[in-house]
Amino acid sequence: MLCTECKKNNATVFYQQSINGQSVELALCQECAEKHGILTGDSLFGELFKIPQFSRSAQSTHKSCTLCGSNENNFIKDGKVSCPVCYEIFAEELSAPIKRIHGNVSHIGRAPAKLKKQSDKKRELEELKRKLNEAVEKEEYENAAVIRDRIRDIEASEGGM
Amino acid sequence: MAWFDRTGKDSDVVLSSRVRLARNIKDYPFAPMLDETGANEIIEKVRSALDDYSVTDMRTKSHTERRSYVEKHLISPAFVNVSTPHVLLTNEDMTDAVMVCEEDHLRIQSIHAGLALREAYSAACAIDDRIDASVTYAYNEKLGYLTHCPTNLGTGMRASVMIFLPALTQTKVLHSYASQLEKLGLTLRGMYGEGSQAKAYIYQISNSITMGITEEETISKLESVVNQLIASERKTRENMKNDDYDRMCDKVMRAEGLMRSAYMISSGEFLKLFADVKLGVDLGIITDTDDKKLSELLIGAMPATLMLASSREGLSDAERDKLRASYIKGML
Repeated sequence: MLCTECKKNNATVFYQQSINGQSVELALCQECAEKHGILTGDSLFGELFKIPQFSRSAQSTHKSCTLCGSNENNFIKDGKVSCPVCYEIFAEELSAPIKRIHGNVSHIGRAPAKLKKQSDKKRELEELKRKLNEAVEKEEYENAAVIRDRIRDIEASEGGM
Repeated sequence: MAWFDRTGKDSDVVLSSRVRLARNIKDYPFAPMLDETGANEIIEKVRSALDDYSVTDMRTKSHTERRSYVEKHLISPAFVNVSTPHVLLTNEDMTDAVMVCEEDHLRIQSIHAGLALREAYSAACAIDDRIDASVTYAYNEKLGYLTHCPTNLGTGMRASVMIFLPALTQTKVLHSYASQLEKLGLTLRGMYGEGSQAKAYIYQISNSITMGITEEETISKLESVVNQLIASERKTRENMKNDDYDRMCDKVMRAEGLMRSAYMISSGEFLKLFADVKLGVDLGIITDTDDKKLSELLIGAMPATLMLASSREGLSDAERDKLRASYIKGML
């Protein structure tokens, strides 16, 4: 749907106005909505991502992103992050706003196949090491040797990855 | 046959089900920060991973053609105005569509007629796996798939259902559901997603939470809520029909009469008529048309798709309304 005002851009903001008791519906593009003072230009998330000056300590060193070159003043624009590496470089700055959106949780669910294999392996190794200690404590040396060989196999295959 | 020319399960209430996954490739800035070379490199990687899909270079398409893709729910409204290289990859029946270089490098989508969230999810995952096998995704163990907008972090998944709720809307029952949906981490909005209004009593329900919940849990939750809405909508429709059958028949038949004989129909009027006629079909009041034809109409009568089908781009509003009326007449 085209903006009812300029009739050029697509309408993205829908607004109901009451004039002399008559309700009028406006469908505006971003630009015209800003002209009407309905939007201020920043997205709602922009506000969520404003990083207060005081959160940066005086001795914090100047950081810039190794991929896109953004610094702490411009790695986020209208609530959107510039590049994947910014998520690592500015992890500290991003942690509070991300918590505000998602709560205090971490990702569960799908993962890239390569990483999934790695983290499965890591988990298996931890489990085997725990079993190895248990076997040694119980003086089950034959069993311990089998577990130790299995650990060696996994570690060797990891080295070749 | 394209997805929108079919009907699926529970088509009296559910028009379509869609799953969209946001993905980005490691070592590249997000799409709006990409230069031409970077965008082309990404496009090439995705093209070779999905070599059996057809590729549409969006920059070679006219504005009307791009709008028509939005009307068919194959691309997002934002994809219409991207200035760097961006392409759309689709499979034959257009159930699978991958937007390359929207705000994320990849928006993988699978859309199916009717209630088919599981089919959509497994199809989207199959595409995801194929691309994953040949690129390295931007991913972080704690934050999940890294996305341009932090609200999509985690699974990067939006599952949504397009749902027709005339009875729940008119009886205002939907109001009371809306706040419950929010508590369940689901949102209800107009038919073209973010920022659009509900027209013809058609809404989109989707998950708003992407972190700390698995994809399967999200799909199950959405599916069970939609099933409850379907049952509630059907029951309310029956009640409305029993309360005042004559008036309902009159309203529905008038709408059908207008569709069959009006000389000009605007898209706004069409959507209003559509809602009444669909309700009439679903309640068995109108028997000489069906949901399949109506779902075809719902896309075919939209401005850009309508003009393209008759190869007449750039018509004035009045000419378009005339064309729409004759198209609808022909379809019914």
